[in-house]
Amino acid sequence: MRELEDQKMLMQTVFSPETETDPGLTIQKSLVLHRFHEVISHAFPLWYARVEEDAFVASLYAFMQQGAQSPQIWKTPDAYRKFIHTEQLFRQMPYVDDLLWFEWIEVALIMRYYSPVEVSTFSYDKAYRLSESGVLKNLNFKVFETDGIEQSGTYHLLAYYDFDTDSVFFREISEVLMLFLDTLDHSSLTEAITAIAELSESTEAEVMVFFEDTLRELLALRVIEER
Amino acid sequence: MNNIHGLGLGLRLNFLQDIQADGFLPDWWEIAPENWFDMPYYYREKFEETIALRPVVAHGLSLSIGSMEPVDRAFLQQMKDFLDRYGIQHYSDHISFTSLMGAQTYDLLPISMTKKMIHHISEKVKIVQDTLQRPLILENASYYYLADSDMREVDFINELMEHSGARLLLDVNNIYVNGMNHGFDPYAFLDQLELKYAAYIHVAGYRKDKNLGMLIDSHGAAVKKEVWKFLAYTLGKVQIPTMIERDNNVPPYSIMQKEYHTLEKVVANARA
Repeated sequence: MRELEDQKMLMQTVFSPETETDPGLTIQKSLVLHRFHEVISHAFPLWYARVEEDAFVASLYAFMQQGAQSPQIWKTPDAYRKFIHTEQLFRQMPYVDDLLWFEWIEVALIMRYYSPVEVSTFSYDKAYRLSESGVLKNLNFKVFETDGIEQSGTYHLLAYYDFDTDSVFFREISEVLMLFLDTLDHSSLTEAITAIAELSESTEAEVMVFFEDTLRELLALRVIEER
Repeated sequence: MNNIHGLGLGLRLNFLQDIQADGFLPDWWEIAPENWFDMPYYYREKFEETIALRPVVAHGLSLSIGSMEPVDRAFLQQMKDFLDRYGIQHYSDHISFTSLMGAQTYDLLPISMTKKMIHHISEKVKIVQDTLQRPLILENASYYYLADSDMREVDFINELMEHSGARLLLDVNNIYVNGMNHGFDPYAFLDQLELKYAAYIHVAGYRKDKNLGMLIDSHGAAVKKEVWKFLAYTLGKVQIPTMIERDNNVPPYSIMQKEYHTLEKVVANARA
């Protein structure tokens, strides 16, 4: 079928890094590349500033060839981020996965839909979970600080959408709070308290006192919510 | 287009904060639906307020009606949900393709202008209209590469409109740009176009690529004089809703307001 063959040829051409001689094809290629370049470089400004342009464009072509699937272009940077990880590209920048996650999660949290809720007062008698506006991540590089991007270590990060300022905040948290929130997300508040008490060789009452103010604040910020 | 009259303007994200109910408003909005399926949380309320002020046409990019494969039904359902949620009656996309075998291009690619393509698109139009429960409007697209074809573009569009039952979104900038790039007279093209199928008109800016010697339908600049002139000629033949499209280098709302007033003058003069 000549119509399909022509479309396949055109797709191959626009997704190929090879230079074209035909002016019409050259323009079609550049327009498609521009779309990918714009949305991905804008989503990852910190990373884009650190990568060589030629290498970046080469990665875009490689990404285009494997197929960006979402009809919604704003989701493309997430697919690109996963592609970079799967294909193990830019491994000379060992922080690349963490940095791309860090930049993407800001976009993702901004674009997420949040139902209006009335924030209630905190009580250990209620059941809680991490809300959609909060995300936990263990990082191997301090990508959340501009001067620390290449600094390796173990970092626990809480990213959340702040409803007062309509922006995304990042907070480095302790390992114990990370574990607590992570456990809370998968089981009950009681189980989370028990787990932390066992780990820290504390009583459950001590754990409850230790976390109460933090949980109160996180509830007010809508980082956690009632189940 | 029962609730769309007069002149329209493409609604862009950066306009939202400047739009006031008692300030300047076009007669109707055109929105790019894929850009609003999801939106920044803090824009949602303002977006909903804004589109409640005027009738809306949804003008998509991702339908890929010309790709030689079936309609993406999941995408279509997503579109229907969006159109239903906001009560949008009118939906348009392009005579082109933007995806094939699961890969998106996010830009319009040209299709073969053949009888087989007309048949193929016509079948897809039926599915789209049945699913969306709305008529589909298709825009004559700009193209730089001439796909493997055996029909003239004007004949292809006329026959496609006749067979598919779709309406035409008449983009005068695209006709002008294609005419200059592919060596045909845009005025003669328009004279041969079956304007009874036209639902509404797009006008936009282009730029010249001096190295390649072609005009680019960039949607990133003010409308050029020669396109205003061509629009005036078009409006002498058909009087339908008309709007300015601007997708790149989008200026502040106040600047678009000035261009909208230019459009008002062109339309008024054409009708005088």
